[in-house]
Amino acid sequence: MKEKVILLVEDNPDDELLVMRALKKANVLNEVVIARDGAEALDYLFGTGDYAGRDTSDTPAVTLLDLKLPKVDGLGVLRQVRADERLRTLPVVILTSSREQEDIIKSYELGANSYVRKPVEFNTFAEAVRQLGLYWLVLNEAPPHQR
Amino acid sequence: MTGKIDTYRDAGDAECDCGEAVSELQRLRDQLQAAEQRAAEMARELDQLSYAVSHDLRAPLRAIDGFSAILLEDYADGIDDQGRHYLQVVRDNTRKLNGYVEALLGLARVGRRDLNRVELDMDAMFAAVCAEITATATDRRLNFEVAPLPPALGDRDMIREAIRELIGNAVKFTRPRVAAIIRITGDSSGKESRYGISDNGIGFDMQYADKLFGLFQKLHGIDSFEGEGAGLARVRRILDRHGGHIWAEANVDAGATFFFTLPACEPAGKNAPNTQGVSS
Repeated sequence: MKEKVILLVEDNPDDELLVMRALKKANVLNEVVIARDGAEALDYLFGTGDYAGRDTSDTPAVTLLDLKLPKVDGLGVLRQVRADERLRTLPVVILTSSREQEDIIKSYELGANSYVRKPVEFNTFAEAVRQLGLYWLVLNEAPPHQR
Repeated sequence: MTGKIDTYRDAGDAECDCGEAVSELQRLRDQLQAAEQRAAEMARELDQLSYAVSHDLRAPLRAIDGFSAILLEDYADGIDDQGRHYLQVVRDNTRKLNGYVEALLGLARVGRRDLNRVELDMDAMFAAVCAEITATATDRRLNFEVAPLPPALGDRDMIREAIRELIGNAVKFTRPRVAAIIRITGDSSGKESRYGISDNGIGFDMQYADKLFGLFQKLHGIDSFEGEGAGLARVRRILDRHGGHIWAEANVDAGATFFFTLPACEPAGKNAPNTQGVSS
């Protein structure tokens, strides 16, 4: 069976590279789909735009979602995902620089499964990504798929 | 005759002066109000600016540290000891800069948070912080002497943060002593409660007392005591928002005392406390 993908919604190419490297070092072999803004993420998840015709029943194992994004921001993506019958149970982890209380509260209110702050220090960052991979791809039981 | 006329004139002048004084007073009051409003707006803007700057500075910092680390890990064979040392210097400085950014963010957060004023049992607040610090500083001999303290009005989380910072400083700057003696006292004027935290630490020269509460100001050498020099600036901001004050008295090598004030609790039966503030 094909492994589920990880959807990484990240506009900063440097952060993208750091996440990809950390996943590789943690032996996460799942394909990583990268969306560079909120609109692209929504296109992937809803099978629209560049992703028109994609089999949308094939949902990501986990979506790593930045908050500060061009076009549609992270909270906007989350709102649309949670409003959709098929994507309501999609595991979404907010991965962001912000530690502002209001961002954390809003994320959970809109149905984020987890909120992780990107550390500045590289080793801590790599460790956070490794643990995220381990937890969401191995430890966690994903919601059964409604097809 | 002339005298009478003079008196008459004086009375007229007085009436005229009085009218002028009233309008002058009105003008000054308007000016003061406008200045207060401007100050509040500027404080808000500064908080927003610090937030934006701190927030956006973190991504490039992460890249600098991340790619330096990757160079050290993946290209170790191609870099000699000197090169590795330089890269480590880059990483150390990234960490330092991140410390400053975090401190700035902490300061901005004080300004952005809403105040939730409640009656604070300051005995319990100080006791909790002392216990917490004692539990973490297991390698130190800390003697706390806490006198009975009057209650105060304030935001529980923020005042706890201020107390933690002040006691933390007392613990930090008594490190050269075999045993730290930290005395906490308090009294109340009815309108204001005042607290004092004295230590037997290294103290400081009163000549530099005005620098104490400035942002990123450190009175002691850069590496002798850890920290960014933002703690007391944050404490002052917290007390400002409460309408309180903070000041310090010290002597070189003979300990320091930090005093701060907070609005006292109104005795029961009186009107609700007047807690108007610039930025609440």
